[in-house]
Parts: sequence; structure tokens; C-alpha cells
Amino acid sequence: MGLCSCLFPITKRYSSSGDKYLLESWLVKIGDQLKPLQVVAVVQGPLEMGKAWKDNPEPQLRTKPLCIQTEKNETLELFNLAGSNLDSPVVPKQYLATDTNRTNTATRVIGQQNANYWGLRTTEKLVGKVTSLFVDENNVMEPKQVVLSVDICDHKVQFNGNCAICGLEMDIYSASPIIDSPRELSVTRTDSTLGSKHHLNPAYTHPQLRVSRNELEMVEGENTIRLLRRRKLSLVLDLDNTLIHATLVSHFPQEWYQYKHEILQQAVEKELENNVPMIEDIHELDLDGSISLVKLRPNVRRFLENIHQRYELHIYTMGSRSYADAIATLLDPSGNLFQRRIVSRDDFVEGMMNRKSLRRIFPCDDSMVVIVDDREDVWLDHDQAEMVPNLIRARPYLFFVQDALEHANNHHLLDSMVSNIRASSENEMCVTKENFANISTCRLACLSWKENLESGYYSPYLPWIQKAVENDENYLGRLEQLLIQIHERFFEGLEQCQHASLTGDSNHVKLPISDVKLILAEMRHRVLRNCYLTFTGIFRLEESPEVSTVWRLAQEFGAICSKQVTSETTHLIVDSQRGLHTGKTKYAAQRGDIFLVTLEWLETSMQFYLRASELQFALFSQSLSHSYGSDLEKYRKSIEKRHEQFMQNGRYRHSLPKSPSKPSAKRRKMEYSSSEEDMTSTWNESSSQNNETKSRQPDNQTSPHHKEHEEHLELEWTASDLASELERELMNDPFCLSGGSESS
Amino acid sequence: MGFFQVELTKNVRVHPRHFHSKLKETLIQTLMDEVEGTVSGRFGFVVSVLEVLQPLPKGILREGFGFAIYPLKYKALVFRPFKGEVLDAVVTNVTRHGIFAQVGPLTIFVSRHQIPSDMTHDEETASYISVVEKAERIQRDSAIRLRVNGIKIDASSFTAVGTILDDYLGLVE
Repeated sequence: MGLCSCLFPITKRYSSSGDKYLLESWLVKIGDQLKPLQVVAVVQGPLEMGKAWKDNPEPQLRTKPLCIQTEKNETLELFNLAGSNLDSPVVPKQYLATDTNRTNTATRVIGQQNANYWGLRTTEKLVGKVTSLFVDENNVMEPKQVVLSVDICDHKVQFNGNCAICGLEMDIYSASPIIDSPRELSVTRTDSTLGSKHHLNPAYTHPQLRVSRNELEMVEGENTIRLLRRRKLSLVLDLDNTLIHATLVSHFPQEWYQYKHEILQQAVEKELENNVPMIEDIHELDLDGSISLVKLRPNVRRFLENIHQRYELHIYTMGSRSYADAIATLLDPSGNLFQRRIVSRDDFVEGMMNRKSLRRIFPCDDSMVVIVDDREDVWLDHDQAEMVPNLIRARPYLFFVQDALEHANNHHLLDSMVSNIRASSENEMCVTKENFANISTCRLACLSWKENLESGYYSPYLPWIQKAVENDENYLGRLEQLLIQIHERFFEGLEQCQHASLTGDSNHVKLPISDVKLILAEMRHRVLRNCYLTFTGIFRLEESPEVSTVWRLAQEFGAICSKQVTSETTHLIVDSQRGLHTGKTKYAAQRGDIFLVTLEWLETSMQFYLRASELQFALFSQSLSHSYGSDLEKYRKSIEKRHEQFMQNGRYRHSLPKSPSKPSAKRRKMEYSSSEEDMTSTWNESSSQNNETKSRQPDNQTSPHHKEHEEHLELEWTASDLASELERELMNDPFCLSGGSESS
Repeated sequence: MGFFQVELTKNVRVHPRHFHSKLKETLIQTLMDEVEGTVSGRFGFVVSVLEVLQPLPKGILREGFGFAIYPLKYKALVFRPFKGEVLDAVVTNVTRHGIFAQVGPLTIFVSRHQIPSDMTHDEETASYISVVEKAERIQRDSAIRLRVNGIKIDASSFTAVGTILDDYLGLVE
């Protein structure tokens, strides 16, 4: 909104200084809302040397409106009323037809058809409220004289095609909505040139509301100040597979309805028996007739409650509005955590359905926003295939088996395993041992199913519900840590900035450098620092690995990727199906100083923002499960025992990147031992994996060993007695990698 | 309030199975089902069918379909807000950008520029609170009196923008 003074135009016809006109009457009064091309006054003239100029020889020459634009002032248009008739759009009809005092003149003007009468009208741009009139009626107007001032409306807030400030009807298509325009968010802070023309739909309002960028920046700026005062950041949370897992009951066998209570009862009994929260937080949701089962992620309420102190929580889901609201009520019965900050797919008229855009919630500034979502592909920027820098990719939470399989099918990182799962799911979900050992996401799902089958404990349809305990490794706990860390670093950075600016060191720090994006990028970069990765069996031959998601993500997390195994390579990421017998694998196994790990290792590292244990995710041969299939229980026990020994005697130590060329027999041994470790984690979830989980979670009262483990940059195995024992074991292990025999 | 009684026409389509003695009732019922609650162009929101004008017209059979079409004339009660009209509305949503209020089927947006400057937005409680008197707050389900500043009528919906920036406008006790 700005005040604008309107000048009387210069009409250079008879003299260099322009003509003078007599203001016959105003057609507007103070407070009136001006429309484009509205006639504001009727004038008479031009006056020459103070006299009314009566006999204009060529009146019709001036049918073109005279309009001179100046930079600071709007100039009114002068047009000849003689040419206008009753239907002319420029002279409002009511001025001509009625017979009030005010309109007399205009009527007379038209009636007289006198070329000496002129209308003074606004330009197309000039819309607003008249604040004052500077020339009285029957006074002479000089050229360039200010005749009236207008409070200009720039229509910065529009609601369904109406300007919400002046009430004028806009052309809804001209107010170009740029919700999904390819524009970098971070630029917007300084860039206001693109501003005013574009109108955006602010979140949590109404799909039809459009607000100009400048206005939005102003409002958002106020909000930013409020958040900073309260020392809060914003957190955008996804629902499905991040905070909850929901499935339609129709995905369940028919028996679900029949035996629902029985099953739940059994589950509750089991829960009491084992003292584990197995079935808690399963809710039945009835949305428009379709019943969903919703399982909250373990500890989700505590997580939200804790993180609420430091973050303003938002929900962004691709589900429908009713679904989002229902889940939000489940998560937050009091309604205090989310209030109305819930975005669903129904909230936006336009835009792509399968995309999430941070601009919808934070159109101006995303330096204080963290996103947690289990899928990063929906957040990809449109033109540049880069991950949204604010995103923490969460470990997908999968509870119900059927969906776990579907998810695995959809998940791009796991596409190598898809065929397996498909084949197995066709075969009446009879996932063989080899298969589900590989399938990370549905591994546990199938496991518990299998266990259930074997134990005969549950009814045969219960396996559709999975055991909750082992599934999640307290991911939300880790997430909470991460978020708190980000929060602390953000406000530390901010205080430093303020300090710097207070001490007058403003040359040093020009802009507030606290930015969640930078903090996250740095945190990411530390995860796999000093890791040199090579991949085998993961990329298709025809695609170039540099553009693949895995490659890019690995680099984002600080790893250095190469196509071939070099002297620097520290990790070889092996596809557990296709990568087993490649040259790279064989060579790396022979070299012995390279970790052979599964893709899951990389994924877990990236999800937890911690380098995962190479032990846990080391590659093991597929023949393993076959050879031990009959005697699995025994094998598991032996592994368990050894793992305990590791934990007691093993010593992890910090070591900065050692020269990778240094071959270490010990490391090689560790690698082989780790292959058994993987077996442990696969088959014996409750023991080894829980240990691993604990070692990653410092809040679980871990021992110093574990703490070190958690912080490790490079881990080395130094228990010599165990090593020798291992060596003996390895000699007897027929399933070790091809290089296994060389260890002796 | 902008309630009017207008005479409208509607072509009602009737399935042949209704061609029996109760045809008249069917016609009226179909008409009510079809028009009540809809927005009819420039007339506004059809609140209710008051009366179907007699005599009922003769139906025209559509060839090839078997349906009969009756151009029914009826009197309807319509709700049509006008620019400058003062309405009492119920607040449905309070945002940083302004207030959304509802008058029956009509959604009205009151921009923050059209809210008196002595009312400030409070994010925590999602309300506009008067600086002078803290008890005076506009939140969800509050009743406000506003003036309609502009109206947009689409084929099927209509919305308006309003203001409470004037004497006697704002919160209604």
C-alpha cells in the first residue's frame, strides 16, 4: 500500500508550459474506492491566458487520452467527453442517468456534446482509495499540479479473485500462482525483485487465498521473530511410515473381522508375558467406511512431547484431510502440539499430487525448518534432482507385513530386491530364508511371521501383525537426539552472530549464518567422512553411477565414491544378490583391508546419521543359510556367545583415517567374523540387534565401550586372543567368502 | 441480510418409472433435491424452494432416452450478499493473514489489513486479541459483524472479502 499523488497532465498544445483547465466538478469524494479507468472529474478547457478558451478549431483532434507518466507520481488521463456516449465504459452510467447534484455536470456535458469538456480519469494501474482532493470545484488546475492523492492498493492479498483489501475483482489468472515454480527458497530472503507480481497460497489458510510475496515475507518475518524469541525451530513431519504405519483392514485376511478380539487378546497376553509393548498403540480408524489399522511408532508420543519444547510441529502428509486430522488426534489428543498446522493433499488446489513442497508451508525462508520424512523422492526439487537440504530421511517404519512388502517394492534403494519379494509373495508369501535375510525392510516382518508359524502360538493369520519390539531400534530416540543437536547448534550460531554484531565485528559476519540447511549438511558430511566407497552389483550397467541416488546420497554424507576398487577404497558396497561373484568382490575379499558391506549399511548410516557398524552389515555368503538351515539354532547360539565375548573383550578405539593401503590381517579377520555377526542380527533379532541398538543410543545408559563405538570413525579389532580363536573358527567355516581360506 | 424470493426455472428430468399417479410429488421432490443448497449464478445461494408454480408444465419426452423433461417454474428463497452489506458471521479459521468467517454457505475472508490495528494476532491461541481489552478476542467460533467489501460469484460457489475496520464492526457479544 502506498500513497500516490495524482497530477494534472501536461498537455502541450499551445504553449510549452502546457494548458490550464478549469475543474468543473469532482465525481469522487474522499474515501471512495477508485477503479481502473474511473472518471474522477469533469474539467473544462483548455484555458488560454486565464480566459476560457471557447472556440477550439479542431476539438476532435484530442480524442486520444493525454497521459504522461512520471516516475513518482501517477498522472491522470485527460480524455474528451464529447466522444463518449451513454454506453461508454469510461463514464459510469449512474453519473449520467440520475439527476443528483453531483452528476448534473456530467449529464450536461454529455448532453451538450461540447468538445471543451473533458473527463479526468485514472489509469489502468491506479486503484485505491481517495485520501484527499487538492483542487476545489471551479478552480483552475495548473499543469503538473497535484489534484488528488490516492492510497494505492497493490492487491497483495487476494481471496478467490477478490482483492481482500480493496474488494476489487481480479482476474484470477493474471495473479499467477507460483506455488510450484522452480525458485530457490534461500534466495528469497534477499531477492524481492520477483516479488510483487507473484501471489502465493499461504499454508493453513484457504486454498483460494493468494498473498503477494512481499506481504508474505512480512507476515512470515513476524512469525520468524516470534519463533526466535521462543527459541524454537520448525519441524515438518511426515505421517505414514515415519510416525505411524497404517494399513487398510481390507489388506488383512477375512478372518481379521471374525477373530479380531481373539487376536488382540492373545497379543495382550503375550505382551504381559514378555513384558514388551507389542500390540500397544494399534488403533482402529474408520474413515468414510474404510477401516484402517494404525500403529504408532514406538515412543512417538514421548518423542513429540519432548521435541515440542524446541520445535514448532507441522504435519505434511499425502493423505486426505480427514485422515490427517484423525491421525493427528491420535498422536496428539489435546491438540496442542500441532494445532492447525497440518497439511494434507486436499489443501492445495493445484500442484502435483505426489510432490511435497516446502514452499507451501514456508514460502519465504527455510533456514529454520527441518523435515523428517521416510521418502526423499517426494521432496526432490523439480528441475534440479537434488535432495531438499532440510530433510532428514527417516528410517521407514513398517509394522504390517503386507505393506512392508509393498513398500519394499516401491522403495527405490531396494529395487534390487524387488524381484525376490515379488516371487516370494506370489508364492503365498512364503518368503524363503535366503530372501528375507536380504530384505531389510520386511525382514523382521517375515521373521516374526515365520516364528509365529513355527511356534504355532498365534492363529495363522496373526502374522499379519508384526512384533513391534525389534522393528524399530528406537529410531525416534535417535531422531530426537539429532533434532536437539540441530536446535542447539542453530541457536549457538545465532548467538555468535549476535555477539559478533554487538562487538562491532560486522565486517566479519554479514548475514545471520545460522541455517539449518548448513548445519544438516555439515552433520551429514561427518557421517561417512574418510570412507572411500565402491559399489558392485548395485548399479545397472546402462546407468551411470554418478547420477544415481545412492551415489549422490553417499557423497552428501561425506563419502568419496569411486567406480573401481582403488588403493584408497575402504568399503565395498555389495549387492547381496548380484554383487557376490563380481570381480570387485573377489578382489576386495583378497585384499582383505576393505569392508564388504551390504547396501543396508549405507542406508542405516544415512538414516541414523551415524556410521553403522560394519560388523552388523557385513556381507555374508548366501550359501550360508543353506548350509546352516537345518542347524540354525545351534549356530545362532554360538554366534551369540561370540558376540558377547566381543563386547566384553573387544576394544574400539578412535583412529583418524589410517592409510588405507596398510593391509591388516586383523581387519580381515574382523570382516569374516562380521559375516557371522550379520547372521546374528538377521536370525536372532532380540539379542544382537538390540545390543547394536543400544550401542547406538547413548541415552540407553551405554557402557563406555559402546559410547566409543557410537562415535567411532574407524574401528579396529584388537583382541588378540579372540582373534586366534576366530581364526580357528574360520578355518572350519565352509561358508566364508572366497578369500576365507587365505586367512590362515 | 440478503434474502430474496425469486422466480426461477429448472429443467427437471424424470425417469419413465415415475410416470404414474405420484408424478407430481416426484417432480417437486426431484426439484428440491437438485436445487436446494446450490449456487445459481447471479441469484445466489438457493436456500429453499418455497413454491412450485402451478399449473405444472407438460413434460417433453426426450427421444431415444425415454426421460421426460419438465421446465418447472418455482419460487425460491435465495441468499445473495451484496457489496457493502453488513453481515454477522461465524469465525471458522484464524490465521496470520486474517480471519475466515462463514455466513451460511458464504465464506468471507477478512484480511489482517482490514482488522483494526489495535488487534494483534496471537499464534499460540490462534486468535486476534485486542490490545486495549485482553478479554476481547476473535477466535474460532466467535461471532463477528463485518461489511462485505467484494464478492466473487462463480458458477458453483461464491466467496467474499470483508472488513471489520469501521465503527460498530467486529466482535459481536
